[in-house]
Amino acid sequence: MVRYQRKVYSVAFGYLRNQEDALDVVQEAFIKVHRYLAKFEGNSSFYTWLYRIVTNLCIDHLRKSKRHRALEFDDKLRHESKGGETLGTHHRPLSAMGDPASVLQRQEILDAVQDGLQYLSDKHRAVIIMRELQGMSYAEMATTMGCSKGTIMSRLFHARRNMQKILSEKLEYQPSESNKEPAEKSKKAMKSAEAVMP
Amino acid sequence: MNPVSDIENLHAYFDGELQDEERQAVEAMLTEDAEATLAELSLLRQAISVGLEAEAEKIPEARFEQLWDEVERTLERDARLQQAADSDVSLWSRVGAFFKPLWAPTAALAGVAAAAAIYIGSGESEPAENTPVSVASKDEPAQEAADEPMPLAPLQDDRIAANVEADEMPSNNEAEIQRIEFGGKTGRIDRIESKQGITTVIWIDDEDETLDSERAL
Repeated sequence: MVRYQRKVYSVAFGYLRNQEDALDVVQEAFIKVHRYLAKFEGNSSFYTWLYRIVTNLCIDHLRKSKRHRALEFDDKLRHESKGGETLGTHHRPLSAMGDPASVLQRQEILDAVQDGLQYLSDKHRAVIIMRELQGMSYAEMATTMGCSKGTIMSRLFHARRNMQKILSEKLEYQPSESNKEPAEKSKKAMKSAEAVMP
Repeated sequence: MNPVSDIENLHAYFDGELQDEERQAVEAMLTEDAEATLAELSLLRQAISVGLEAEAEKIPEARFEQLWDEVERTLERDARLQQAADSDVSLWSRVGAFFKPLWAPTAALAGVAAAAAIYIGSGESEPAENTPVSVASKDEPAQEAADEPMPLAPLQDDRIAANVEADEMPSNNEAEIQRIEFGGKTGRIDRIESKQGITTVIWIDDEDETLDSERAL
């Protein structure tokens, strides 16, 4: 199980954004795995089962801590998304930074992604981690979060979109002329949103 | 479709969540812009994954060793508690636990047996209607205490006597009183009433004169 420890930690950290909280969850997850190993039926892979335990522990932790730092920010961005702009076409900060391979080598970009996750609401961050890091299906995510597949679909879309907007700000992405106006709108949104962020 | 559902479908397409028909419909409408969006989504996914893995690499190995030590300690504590809980169970508790499923039926059987014993016992003394002869009479206030057992016939009191046919004595020691003598008169028992420890014998005189006295009431 040692070989999973860092992967499990990265998932827990993705949800919780706090090193010690993530380590506590990892520890609790491994204890649970040992306790309930006999009950593991083998319907899914061990890796999937382990991730499910970690996910549930993280969600429980978030529910208990009731941290909704970015809720207002998230809602504001969501509102703007429905304002008529062509969704998904203006915020491409990562691909605008150059060759994908080189993008992933640049520490400031990875740091920006990490910061971006921190500014998402708990629910948006959870769907991002479940999908992008854990590769969970919409149905599995819906079961885990206790909502419909449609909600997951919508939530994931908005989470990604918010993430792109945050990255635009963090990486000071300069949009092309055709995208300039909507990007300026998003910058204004970022500024107003930062005013309510802790 | 509106722009929102279009782009949500594009994300679902990216995630491999569309059915064949929907997937083909999205592919047929893929524009250059949509492809660029898909590339951005792919890059975002990789950046999140690489970023979080890099975050995990920041944790020193010693911290994870500490974590595993704590996991082992917790599991050992669990095992000790379990062992202690198992050994604390006394022999009687184990026997009790073994027979626990039988408690309810056994109790039910015992209840039935007790009820049967009571019924049989009451059946043996059923002719008490006839046996405890007691007359509620102002003339004989001290003759019988209401709660004292009545002797079977013949009674000690010479004024009251019952003829008991020895050859008709039932095998269960019950005596059947057929006639009664009281105050120099004889008669046959009409009925016996019993209430709250007082037994009243109502009898009919041999001369067929119905007694009109409190004794007969």
